[in-house]
Amino acid sequence: MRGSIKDNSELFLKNEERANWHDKALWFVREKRDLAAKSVPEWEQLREKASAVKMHTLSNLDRYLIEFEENAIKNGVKVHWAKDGKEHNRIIEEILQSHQVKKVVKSKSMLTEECHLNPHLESKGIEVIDTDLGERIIQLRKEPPSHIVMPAIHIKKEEVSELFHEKWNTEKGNNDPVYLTYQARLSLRKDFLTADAAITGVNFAVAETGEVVVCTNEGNADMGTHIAPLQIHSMGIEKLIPKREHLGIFTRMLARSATGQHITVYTSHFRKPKKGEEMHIVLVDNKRSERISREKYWTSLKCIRCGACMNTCPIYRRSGGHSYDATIPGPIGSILAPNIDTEKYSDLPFASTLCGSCSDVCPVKINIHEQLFFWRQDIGRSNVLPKSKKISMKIMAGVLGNPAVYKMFGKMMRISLKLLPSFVFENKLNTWAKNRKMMEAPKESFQEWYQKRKK
Amino acid sequence: MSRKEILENIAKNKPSGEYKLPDLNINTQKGKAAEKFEGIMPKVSAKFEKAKDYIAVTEVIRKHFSGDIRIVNLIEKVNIQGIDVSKLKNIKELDLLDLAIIKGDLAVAENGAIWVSDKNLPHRILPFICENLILVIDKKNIVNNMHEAYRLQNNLDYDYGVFIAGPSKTADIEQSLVVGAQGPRNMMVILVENQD
Repeated sequence: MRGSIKDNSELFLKNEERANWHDKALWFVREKRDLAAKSVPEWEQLREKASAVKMHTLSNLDRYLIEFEENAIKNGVKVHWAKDGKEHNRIIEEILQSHQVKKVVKSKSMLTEECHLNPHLESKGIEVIDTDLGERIIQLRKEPPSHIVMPAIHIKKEEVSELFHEKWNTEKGNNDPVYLTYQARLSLRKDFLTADAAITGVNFAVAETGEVVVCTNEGNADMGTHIAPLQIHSMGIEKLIPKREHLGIFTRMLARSATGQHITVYTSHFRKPKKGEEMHIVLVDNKRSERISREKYWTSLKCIRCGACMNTCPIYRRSGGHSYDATIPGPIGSILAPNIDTEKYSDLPFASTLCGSCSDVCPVKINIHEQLFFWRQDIGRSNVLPKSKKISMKIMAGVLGNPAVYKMFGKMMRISLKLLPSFVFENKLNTWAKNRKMMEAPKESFQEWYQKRKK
Repeated sequence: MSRKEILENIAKNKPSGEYKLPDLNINTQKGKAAEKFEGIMPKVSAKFEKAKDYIAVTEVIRKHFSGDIRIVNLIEKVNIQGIDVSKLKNIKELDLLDLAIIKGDLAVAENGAIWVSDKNLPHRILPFICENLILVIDKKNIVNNMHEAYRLQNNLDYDYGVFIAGPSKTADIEQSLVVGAQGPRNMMVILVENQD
């Protein structure tokens, strides 16, 4: 059963100190993003172009997929097509079994999270090691990622130290990130040297050349693919771009948006297999070909998974990624998840202030806050909303839709807030007053103030 | 066959509007590429040295790396003896390699990234498995930005290629930047000013 974001974030907020720490950590990344974006005067132009390239590709996706496949095959790559997560997992399992693979090293891939690849392979007796440090930490803790770029952003160094001590017998109480990172390096190095296969996600795939591009800072995708005799790249079909020259736009924006770096340390271009060895690419649909038909929502497929919308989101920062209980959390996750299962994720589009900051920072100009609003309308019209929410929304619609009622209601509220004792408002029935005081009521409404000034 | 099903679904469902591929005329900043490139080196945690020619490159490397260490040198003009990688039985023997010296084809001023392709790499793992990496770049091969870089590379044929901007790093533990994740723990860039 999926927990609601309301209940989950309530739990998250119980530890106020930790919630504040989480909020600050994410805001720090948002500030770095701002500095990096401002260092590029043509930033807005880049966003326009990036968006246009993606819209063009998506509206010709079948043609570009065929071109990509043709060129990848020419390069000696084996291309597979998976209509859903299950088929994706089965294809990968078959490739691994045919090579008698016992151990796989994997670099970060939200797609394999979406398909639940790890549990599938493990159930078939194949060991999977996640090699991105953050991913390794959450894998050892048996947790899902809480952020798509910084999967362990919710965990404190003391907890990492405890975990490594327990798993690898590292020095107890040594909380130094340098020491802890080095210990993980030693452990992962052994895994790289003993893996039979490497799996990576894909940031961009180029139709013109049939190559896939993978961006990392740690070098883990390269350590994996260049040592293991077998390499597999899993990609959602929306990762395609037409030409190599378009990489110029996206590689300038991805890291700046994600972490505030000017580029990731490694931007690796895989075209052909290593000599005498095998390279596979698995193209995954998993309802993307259906989502592309939705007039209001298809542009969410432009997403390049930078995570900027999460770092800036006041809800995400104060709720934590796990509260969304969806593969991809945050604003973008809240418009992606209802595409997959509208009823199951019907609460997510409501977990937003609609402030629009997500759309402002999005490097490919997805109108995230508008799509959140569209989802609210669609969900409101369907029968999946809880009754309490439906009733309160009906009342609000009545009040906001009628100027006279609105004026009267406003006046009533101002007077009652001033005159009635605080327990009338600050009680369990008023969720607005949970963890916060009711605001002080102004003497007059804006309209009244404005009328007076006009005289 | 899922291939057919997926493609048919897309053909049926894709948006019908005409979305043109944009031109790539972008108002980029140009000029002083070498200075900008040098200026960005500390930001990507890379050490930086200049050398007037390849004899000087050899001297710079000898100054920083000496003693009994395992080296792979892939630049002929750099006079440093190392392991002959063609004689390796297994690339895993390269684990804990102290130093790899590799030529970069081009460098990007806006972000410090250097393009290395398997044209210069007998094994793709070399720039990653070493503890210390030296990338040598000719001054004439510095471009302003990624657009220029991709335009230049259009003529380059490669099976594998990578932009490298500094040593491997991570900030996965509480956003603390740690240099030396799964790849090299140190990186030095040597800029050759008067290449022949």
